[in-house]
Amino acid sequence: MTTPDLKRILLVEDEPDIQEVARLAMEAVGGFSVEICSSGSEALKKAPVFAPDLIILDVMMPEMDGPDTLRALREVPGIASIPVIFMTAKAQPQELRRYKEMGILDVVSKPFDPMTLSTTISDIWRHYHASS
Amino acid sequence: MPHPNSPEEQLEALRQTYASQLSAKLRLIEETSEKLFKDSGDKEALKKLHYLAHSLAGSGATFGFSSLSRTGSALESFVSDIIENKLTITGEHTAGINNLLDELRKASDKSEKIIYSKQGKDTFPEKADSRPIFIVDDDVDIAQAIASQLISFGYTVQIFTDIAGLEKAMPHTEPAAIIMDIIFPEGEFAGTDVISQIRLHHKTRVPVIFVSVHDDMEARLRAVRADSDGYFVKPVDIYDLIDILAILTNPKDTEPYRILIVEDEPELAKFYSLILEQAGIITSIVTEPLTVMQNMVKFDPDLILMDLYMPDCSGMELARIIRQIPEYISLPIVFLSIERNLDKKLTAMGYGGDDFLTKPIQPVHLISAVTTRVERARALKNLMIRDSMTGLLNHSNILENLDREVSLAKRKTGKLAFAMLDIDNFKDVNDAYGHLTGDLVLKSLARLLQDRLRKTDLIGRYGGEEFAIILLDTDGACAEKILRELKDSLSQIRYQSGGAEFSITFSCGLAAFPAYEDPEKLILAADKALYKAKHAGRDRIILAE
Repeated sequence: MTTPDLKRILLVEDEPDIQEVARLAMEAVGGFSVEICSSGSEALKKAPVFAPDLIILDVMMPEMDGPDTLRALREVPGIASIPVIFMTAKAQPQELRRYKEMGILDVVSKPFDPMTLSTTISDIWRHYHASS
Repeated sequence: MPHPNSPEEQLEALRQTYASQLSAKLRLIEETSEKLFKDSGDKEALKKLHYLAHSLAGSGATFGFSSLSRTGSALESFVSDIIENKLTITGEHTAGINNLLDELRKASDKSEKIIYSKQGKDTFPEKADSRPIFIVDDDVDIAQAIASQLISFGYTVQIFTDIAGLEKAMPHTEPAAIIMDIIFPEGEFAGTDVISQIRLHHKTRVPVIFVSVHDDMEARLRAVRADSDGYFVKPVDIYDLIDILAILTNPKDTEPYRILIVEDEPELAKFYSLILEQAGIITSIVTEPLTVMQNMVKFDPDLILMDLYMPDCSGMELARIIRQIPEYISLPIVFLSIERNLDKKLTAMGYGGDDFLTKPIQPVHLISAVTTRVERARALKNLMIRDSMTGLLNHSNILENLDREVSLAKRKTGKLAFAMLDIDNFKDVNDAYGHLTGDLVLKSLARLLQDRLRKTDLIGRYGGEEFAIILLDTDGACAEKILRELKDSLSQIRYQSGGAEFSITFSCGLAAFPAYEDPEKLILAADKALYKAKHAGRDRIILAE
């Protein structure tokens, strides 16, 4: 059973610094095709068009946070089943548990190492497909 | 040399941009804090401050400012504590925030090299503890002072200014240790009371160190009754505190006990095993006494639980055989038997047993007899093989280990790397800051090595300021990478001594097996490489070709 390729990643992150370094980490280092949204509402519009294999959601965003964005994405047919990874600077065990219960693949913590972020994401992707 | 516009170069450019924008970010945090101080009911300002701190925590290290991430995280926890518990902002909160802002400014001034944390699926398995230390004190200045020292040693810290905050966090978190004041607005002994409560309900035992202005018997007694691991009178000597923390949070000492059960009746053996395993002890069963030796080698027990009367070979005979082997002279052996005859029991002890338990045995007695013996045996063993100041393996022990691991590597045609690490200009540190600080630096480096290296790596103190590391199942390139990250970690640490701050570096020589095929060649090559490193400018790692 081979793992399907991970090619297109949609990143939802409001901070411009993180947007740039994450793009670098995933495009230049990881070779993925990356689309960036600055908010949950933008993600709802762009996701159906970009059709990513994976969505990375920052947890703490103004207006619509990560979990709310996830819930909204799940309401839209066509993108509801795209796997999601959360990204957060705060990873208390009870929060992690809550996120896992929402059915996401994993949580990536900030601050991340730009040189190894893409490896972490690939590992999570492979792990997810191996167990399904 | 990375070529132009390689990811590394692009990253460097992003880092420079981030660095140039840092003062604007800090100004924004300061302005938001001012708003909050002017009107402590300003919820918007509070939320914004939280968001800004969170942002720094999550970005700092990515762009080369590790302390910024850690301090940002401390500020974020501090503010989040206020928000979640709907606290009114007092003068102390203000002081706390100001202190953290100071730290943020300092952290942003120093552009540091990058250090990371491994995420999720690790490249380096089994890293040691990065759980936070909780500091609980309603006196914010004291909490901050301790926190900033701990942070500069590389610890992660979370501050609580009231008991409610701690109580809320405990059911969900696993701190590495709690540093707890005793007097709180709730009462003279509220600190010890709340810890006693927590001990009753919390699933694991968290180390707790009490700090207090109280120095009287009642306070100390209450602390003991709350099962404390340490007690310091304020003002706290940070050196002593860190020493104790290092011992309490040392991952090697918290490895589960391993008990070998030698009992010819399988049902009984299973019964003992179940009791012990429920107490978190790892067991292995031998029902044929004559096979005990190969089992011991494989299982490496801390203690043997042995039936006295068995066919083929009695417990006493087996104990004598085991004691013939120098390595097992002090391995604790506890006999089990229905034997009630005191003389026979004493004879059994004379044959090499350490204790005698009479069947039928109460589970709680079994567990306590076994655990006290194992603890004592481990402490004794450590005395023999470890350097007392740093807790690392001592010189002769690390060499013995090298011999053993090289033989093992040869047999399995495996790989292994040997590193010799020497602190640069250590004499200058002692001269400038005193020997007490010098010792602290050694202990802190020892702790860093244990934290950042893997559980399988063997770390020893080779000489005064020299360390030796055996990296199992690792090739030269990988070892070099690991050590480089260690070097970067070290460069993040700012030691403090009497108001001054300094940092240290090390030079390192590395040699790998099988390129160097025996222990002597490995040591010689690593030593030569270390010499090269020192003479090439220090603060570097050289792999012997």
